[in-house]
Amino acid sequence: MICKGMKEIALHILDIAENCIAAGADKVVISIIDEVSTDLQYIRIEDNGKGMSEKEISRVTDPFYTSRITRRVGMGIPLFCQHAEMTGGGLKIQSEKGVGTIVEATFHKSHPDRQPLGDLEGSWLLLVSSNPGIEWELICSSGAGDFSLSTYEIRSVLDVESIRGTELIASLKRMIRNNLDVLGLE
Amino acid sequence: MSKIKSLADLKKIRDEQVTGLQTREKGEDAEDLVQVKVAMATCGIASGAKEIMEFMTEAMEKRGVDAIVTQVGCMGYCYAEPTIEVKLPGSEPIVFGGVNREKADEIIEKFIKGGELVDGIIPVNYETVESKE
Repeated sequence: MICKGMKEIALHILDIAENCIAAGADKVVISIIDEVSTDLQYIRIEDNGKGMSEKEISRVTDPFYTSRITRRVGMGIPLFCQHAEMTGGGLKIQSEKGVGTIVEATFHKSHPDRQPLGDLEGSWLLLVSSNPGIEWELICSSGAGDFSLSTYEIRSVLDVESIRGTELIASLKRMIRNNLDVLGLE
Repeated sequence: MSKIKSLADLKKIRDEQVTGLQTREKGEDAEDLVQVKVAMATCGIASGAKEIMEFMTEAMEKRGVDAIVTQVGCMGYCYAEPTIEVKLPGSEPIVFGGVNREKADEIIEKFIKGGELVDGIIPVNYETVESKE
């Protein structure tokens, strides 16, 4: 196994969003919120999938729990949680059966162990292009302003049926990156 | 060139170069295309599956292979990540393990374009933890 590890928050987002897809969600909202006054960065992944019971929520931070049957361990949430805790932050899960799930990790932004945000635009567009049946939304906010983008907006403004093709993806990537740079999100 | 900041900027640029952009035609049958599934659960992502997926998507388009590249969950071969499943039209899917950029390139050139088998195939009868019990 080639082990590179989860070195960027964007990879965690990609990973956690996989759970939203598996939960049958048709809308997933990913938010990155920098709160300057508290030095906190919130990463929130919200879906309208099948949700979890209280019992399931209490088990997801345990690496030896997984809903999948191809293998016996699930490391996604525990790793995300660990990386948040390393910065003095943490991870919170709210979920309701039949309504959806919100996973929110909090990072101390200036902590030396905080991972970089990384290739957020790449992760988001990968999710978008390979899951056309889901409406994706990206919300970014910092002291410098806000930026949001949704697959619905992209399709209607650009008048395209599907969000795919190297050129379109590359220009959307640049657009998101330019906005992240303006917001100073890293 | 001014920086693209909004969809409106992007639309303007796209309108200017409309000839260069071809979107996929509707109603094509997935069965006639090469289908590539990249395993992207925690194990895959931690081993670099995102990079492989981006490489596959771009390389196939650049080299003119009509393909659908999608992400899937864990295929159960965590020890061999990144893994990809390739299904050529009309044949059984084949799973490759330990795929790095060079391997991905070899898979496209030799297997997908040339129909020649390359190293790194995971036998489909490999037992997963579940089926062993």
